[in-house]
Amino acid sequence: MREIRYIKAITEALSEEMARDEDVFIIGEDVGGPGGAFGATRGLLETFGDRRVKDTPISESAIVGLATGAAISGLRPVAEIMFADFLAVCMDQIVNQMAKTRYMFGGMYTMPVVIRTSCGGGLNAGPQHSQCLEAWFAHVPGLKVVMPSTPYDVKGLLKSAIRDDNPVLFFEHKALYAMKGEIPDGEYLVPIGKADVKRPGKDVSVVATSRMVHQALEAAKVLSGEGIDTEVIDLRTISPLDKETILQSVEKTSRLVIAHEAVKAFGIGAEIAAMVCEEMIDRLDAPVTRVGAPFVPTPFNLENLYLPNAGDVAAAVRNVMEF
Amino acid sequence: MENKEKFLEILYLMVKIRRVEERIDNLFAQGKIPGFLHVSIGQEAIAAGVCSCLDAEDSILTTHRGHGQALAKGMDLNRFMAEIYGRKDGCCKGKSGSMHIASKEDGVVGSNGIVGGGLPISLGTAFASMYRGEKNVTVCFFGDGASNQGTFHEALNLAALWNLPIVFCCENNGWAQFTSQKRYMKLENISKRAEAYGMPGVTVDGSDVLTVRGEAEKAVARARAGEGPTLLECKTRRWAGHYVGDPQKYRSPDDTREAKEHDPIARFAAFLMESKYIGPAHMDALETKVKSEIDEAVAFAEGSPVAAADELFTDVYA
Amino acid sequence: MATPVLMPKIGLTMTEGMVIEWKKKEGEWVDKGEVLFVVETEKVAFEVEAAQSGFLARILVQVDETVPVGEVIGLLTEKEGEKVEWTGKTPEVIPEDRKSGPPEAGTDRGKKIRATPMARRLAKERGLDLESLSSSGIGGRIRMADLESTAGTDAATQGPPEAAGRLVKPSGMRKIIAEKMMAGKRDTAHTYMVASIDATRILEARETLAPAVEKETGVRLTFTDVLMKITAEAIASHPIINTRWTPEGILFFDVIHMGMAMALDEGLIVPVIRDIGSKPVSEIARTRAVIVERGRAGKLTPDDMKGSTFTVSSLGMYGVEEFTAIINVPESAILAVGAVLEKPVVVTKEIVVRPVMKLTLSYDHRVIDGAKAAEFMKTLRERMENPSSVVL
Repeated sequence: MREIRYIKAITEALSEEMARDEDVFIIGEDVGGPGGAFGATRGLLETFGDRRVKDTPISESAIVGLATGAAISGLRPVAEIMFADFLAVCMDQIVNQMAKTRYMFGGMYTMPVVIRTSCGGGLNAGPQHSQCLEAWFAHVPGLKVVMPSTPYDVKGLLKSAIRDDNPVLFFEHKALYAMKGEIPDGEYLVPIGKADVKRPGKDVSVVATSRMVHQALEAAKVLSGEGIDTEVIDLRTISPLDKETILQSVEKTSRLVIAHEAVKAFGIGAEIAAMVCEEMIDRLDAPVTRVGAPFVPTPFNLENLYLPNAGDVAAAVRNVMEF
Repeated sequence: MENKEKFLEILYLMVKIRRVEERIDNLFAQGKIPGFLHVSIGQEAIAAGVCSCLDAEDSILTTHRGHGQALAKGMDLNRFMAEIYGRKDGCCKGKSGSMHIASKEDGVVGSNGIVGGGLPISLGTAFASMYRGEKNVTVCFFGDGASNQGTFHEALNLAALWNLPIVFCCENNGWAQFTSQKRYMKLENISKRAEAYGMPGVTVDGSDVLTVRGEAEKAVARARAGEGPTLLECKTRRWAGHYVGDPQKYRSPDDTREAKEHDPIARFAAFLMESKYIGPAHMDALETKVKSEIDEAVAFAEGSPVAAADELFTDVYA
Repeated sequence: MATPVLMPKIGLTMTEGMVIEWKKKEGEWVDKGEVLFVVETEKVAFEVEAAQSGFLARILVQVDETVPVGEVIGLLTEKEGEKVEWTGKTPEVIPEDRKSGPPEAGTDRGKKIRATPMARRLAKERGLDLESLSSSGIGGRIRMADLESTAGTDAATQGPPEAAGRLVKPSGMRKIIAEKMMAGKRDTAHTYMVASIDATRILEARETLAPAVEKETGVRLTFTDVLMKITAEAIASHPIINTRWTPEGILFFDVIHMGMAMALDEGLIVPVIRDIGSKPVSEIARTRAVIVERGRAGKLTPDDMKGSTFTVSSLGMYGVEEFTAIINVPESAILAVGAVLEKPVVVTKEIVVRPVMKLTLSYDHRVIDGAKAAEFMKTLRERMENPSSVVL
C-alpha cells in the first residue's frame, strides 16, 4: 500500500488505461500542455503524445460530440469538462446524442465514453462553478453516473469506467482533489454499481456520496459517543444504484438518512427514499430523512451557511432516532 | 468526365429517392406510418451527387430529412422501409423510425432529430479515421437552419483546426422549418462562413447533380489527402412542406410553384438524353424497376411484426 | 342545505364527548325536541334533543367515537334523500373555550393509533393489539423499541393457547375511572388507618330522627346520611383533612363538599353533596335521595359530580367488614365504611355483643401525617359513639 492524493490517483488511472489500450485517448480544454485545470492530466501529453492527448478550443459540444462520434467508430475517449456546471453547455450532446445512440440505433453501436468533470463547493468558486448535478444525469436512461469519495475509489472506478462500454459521467469533487489516501501497489479495479459500507453500524443507515461520505463518518464518531451506532454507506455509483446494499442495511437498522451535497429538493436522495419506501415501508421505524444543500444557488461567500456538514448529518440521525 | 455507368447509377438513385419519398408520403396519408416524416423531394441531386463519391468505409451523418442520403449511401431499401414502418426487421429494430435511420455496414452513422446535432459527432468519426491512420472521409449533411446553431460554429472551427477529413455539406433549401432564410440570417451564401474558420467554402446549384458531384469530388479528395475540411453549400428547393402533412400556410403558392420548376431529375434526364447516354425507353424501364423495388420493400415492411415487448429494455446499456 | 348537528357542551368544564347512541338511523326523520342521540362525558350519559326537525341525512361521528365540543357530528336536511356535500369544516359558531385549532403539520389528523410501520409489522407478527402497547415516541407514537419487551411472543411460536377470553372495549366512563384510580395510587402518598366503632348509639340516633325527617322530606333517613353528617362534623374540627396538595402548597377548603361513592352498573360515580356542613341531616337525606334517583336514572350531570373535598365510600350493604378505598384525587382523604356487624367486644372487662363497624381512612401522607390522621379518627369515633354531641 502507498499513500497518494486523489488527483494523482486520477492521473495514474488514466496513464495505466492509456498504456493498456491503444484506443483510449483524452480530449478536453487545457488537458495537454497545461495538464488540466486541476492537474489531473499532468504528464500525459509527454508520455503519450499529442495524438492521444488532445487540447481543444472552448467548445464543450464539440468535445462531447467528437467523443460520441469517435466511440461510434470504436475508440474509447475520456473527455474532460472542466466544471460540472459546464455540462449544461453541452447537454444535447450528452443527453440526446451520447446517451441514446446505442438504443435508438437498435444496438448498432457501443458508446464507451467517459466524461470526467469536477463538481462541488467549498472553494468559494461561486454559483456557476460549484454545483453537484448528478441527479440530472442519473435521470437519463443510457448514462452511468459515478461519484468516488477517496483516492482508492477514484482510481479503481476511473479504470472501470474507461473499460465500461457505456457512457459514464464521472464526478470528481474538487474539494477532494488534495485528499490523501492509501491505494494498493498493483493493478486493481473498483466495480461500477457497487456501494461500499465504509462504517458498519446497527442503529441507523446513512447513505452518502462524495464529500458527504467524510462528513457522515465524522458525524458517526460524534454519535458513537452518544450511544448511537451509525452505518455509513458510500454509494460510489449513483446510477446504476446499488439497491441491494441499501435495502440490506435498512433491513438491519430500520432507519435511513441520505446525505448529499447537491440541493436537497429533487436530488438523488428523493429517488433513494422513494425506492426504500416502495420496497420496505414496513421495516421503517422513522421517516426517511435527507440532508442536502438548501434550495438556493451556491453563494460565493456564504458557503459555510450553504454546504451541508457533519453537524447536519448528526442532527438528522438524532431526529430519526428520537422519532 | 465520368463514365456512363456512374451517370446511370446516379440517375437511378435520384429516381429511387423521389419515388420512395412519394410513396411513403402516400402511405403516411393512409395512416400506415407512425410519427413524423420529413421528405426530401426536390433535393435528390445533393444526396445522389455527394454520396456517389463515397466508398462504403466512408461515413455520412444526416438529418431528419435524410432518407435520400441514407438510400444514396447504399442502405438496403427493405430494411429502410421496415424501419419507417417501425417494425422489428427495420435497420434499428423499429426503435428509431424516420428521424434516426442508420446503417453501420453502409457507413450511414445515423440521422439526427436535433438540428445541428450531428455536426459535433461528425468530428468524431473523422477523428477516428485520422487517429487510426486511415483514409476514410466523413460527410456531414445539414440544412441552412442548422448553420445558425452553436454546434455549427464549434464543429467547423475544430475541424479546420485539426484538419479533419470532413465535408460539411449544407443543403440550403431556403427554409428552416417554417421560416425562410431571408428572415433568419443576413448572409445569403452560407459558404461564406467557411472563411471565418479557415477552410474553403463553395456554393453550387443543388439541382444540378453534375455540378454537385464535381465539387463533392474535390472536397472528398481534399479530405482524403489530409488537407482538411470543406464547406459545400448546395442551393436547392424544398418541394413539399417541412413535415408530411404540413399545409405550408407560411409559404406563398408562388414559392412552391417556383421550387417545382427546378427538378433535378428532369434536368439530369434531359442532359443524359441529349448526350445520348440514355434512350427514351430508359426512363420507363427505370420507373418500373424502382416501383417494383418499392413494392417489395413495402410488402417486406408490412409483413414484418412490431418488435416484441422485451425489446423495450434492450440496448439501453451494453 | 344541511343543518349541522353539533356535539353539545354539557356542564361547565366539558371539552369533549363520546356519542354512545344514535336514536335515529341515517335517512330517518326526527322532530324538533325529540331525542336524537346520547352523549357520554365524564361518566355521565346525556340525551340530546334535536334542535330542529329534519331528515338525519348524514351521521358523521359513529358510536364510541369521541369528538371535541362543537364538532359537527351529523347533518339534517329538509328534504328526504337530499344529497349532502360535506367539506369537513366545522361551522363558525364554536364555543369560546374550545381550545383545539386546525391540526399542525405533522400532527394527528384523525384518531388512529400512531405507530411506525415497523412497530405495526412487529405487533402484527406477534399477534399483539397496538392499543395494548405503551408508546415511547413523540406524540404517543408506538415505535419498534416499544415492541422489544414483547419479543418472543411471536404468535407463530407460542406454546399452548391461552384461555380464550372475551374482549370488552372500555366505555368512556371506564376509561375515566381507570385514569382516576391510577392517578390516585400514583400521585398521592397513600397510607391507611382503621378504627372500630361501636355503632349502638348512631343506630339509635337514626331511629330517633327518622320519623321527623320522613315527615318533613318524605325521604327515609338512612344510616349513611347520619354517618356522613357526623363525619362532616369531625372534618370541621380537623381542617387538615379537607385539603388538596398542590405544587405551590396545601390548599385548605373552608367548605366541605362531600362526595358519596355510588355504584352503578356501568361503574363507580361520586356525586357530591355540596356544603354538607351547613345542612341538617334531613336536608342531607333529601339531597342524597335525589342524587341516588337521578344516578340510577342516568340523569346526573357533570356538575353534580364536581368539587368534592372529601369522599365517603360504603360497602356495608354487602356485608364487607373492612376495606381500603383509593383517594378520590385531588382530595386528601377518603373514608371507607364497612358493614355494621354484631361482634363480641370487651366492656368493663366483660364480653358483650355490640354492633361494630370498621372505618378505614385512606389519606395522603404528603398532607396528613399519621398523628393528624389519628386525631381525626379519634374525633370521628368519639362523635360516632356519642351522636348527641353533634347537632344533627
